[in-house]
Amino acid sequence: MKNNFEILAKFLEKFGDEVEGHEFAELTPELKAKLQQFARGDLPAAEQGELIQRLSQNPEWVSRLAAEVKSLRAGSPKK
Amino acid sequence: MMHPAEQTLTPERAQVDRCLQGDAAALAALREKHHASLINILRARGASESETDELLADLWGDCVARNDEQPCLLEKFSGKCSLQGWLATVATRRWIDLKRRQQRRGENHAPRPGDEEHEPLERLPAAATATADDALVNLLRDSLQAAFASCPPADLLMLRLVYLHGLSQREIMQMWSWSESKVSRKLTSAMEHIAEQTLQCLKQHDAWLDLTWQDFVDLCETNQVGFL
Repeated sequence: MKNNFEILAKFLEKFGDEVEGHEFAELTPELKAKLQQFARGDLPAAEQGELIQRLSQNPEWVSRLAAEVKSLRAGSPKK
Repeated sequence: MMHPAEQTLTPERAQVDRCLQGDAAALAALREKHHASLINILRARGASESETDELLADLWGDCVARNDEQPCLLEKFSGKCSLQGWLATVATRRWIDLKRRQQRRGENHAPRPGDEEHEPLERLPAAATATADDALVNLLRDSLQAAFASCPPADLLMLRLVYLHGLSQREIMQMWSWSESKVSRKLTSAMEHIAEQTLQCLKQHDAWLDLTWQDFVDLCETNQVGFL
């Protein structure tokens, strides 16, 4: 069963203003390192704000962050 | 005995198919089952008694299978949501379209639903499908986008990670170095903020519309999956 947030997010994905023409920004090695730090819980609070701001402008990176967190789960294949 | 083709269908979908094949008894049963609920839903959302009566008379009329060029309304039902939710969405969309027309012209010259003679163009199937251009979708989208925009980016990120990407609250807790109860409270308050801001924005835009948060979520879901 879908949760409410998923329903709302999918609705905006289908009908929102940004459904088309969104340009995917490249994830630089520096940003990738920050995502990994954040995923491990090692990113200083002072740096979290800037990274989160960039993630909000590039929502496609959120799945990369989620993947980094999942890779840390016990039993996940080593990267 | 059930027709073999119906065995893989839900009973609701099978009943809709019988209506589409011109089975008047199936359509009468459908109306019997859903009419009273639809009245309650439209009235609760702010439609007047006369608006409700006329909208539903039109809606059921459009559910009759026809041989002419106007397709039966039920052809647009995808079967991916409840029929009642879908009918309620169609009726709500038609009512919002009606209110929009009334606003544009002034209450004194508002056309009545079914006033085909004077407004034939408004009888075209604008209310039969969900598109990014229809009034209900615009209303839901604009309100929701405003609410998301007012949500702090960190809260929105947390909601995305948990509810779209399946991270656990424990994992979020480790990322932010928070307690699990703080994460839980943050997720709850962020959703409450979105709900509150969305409904406030709706009310600012259309004071006559009375939607609960669950109504809003249901309409989003039905518009997303319910229409072919």
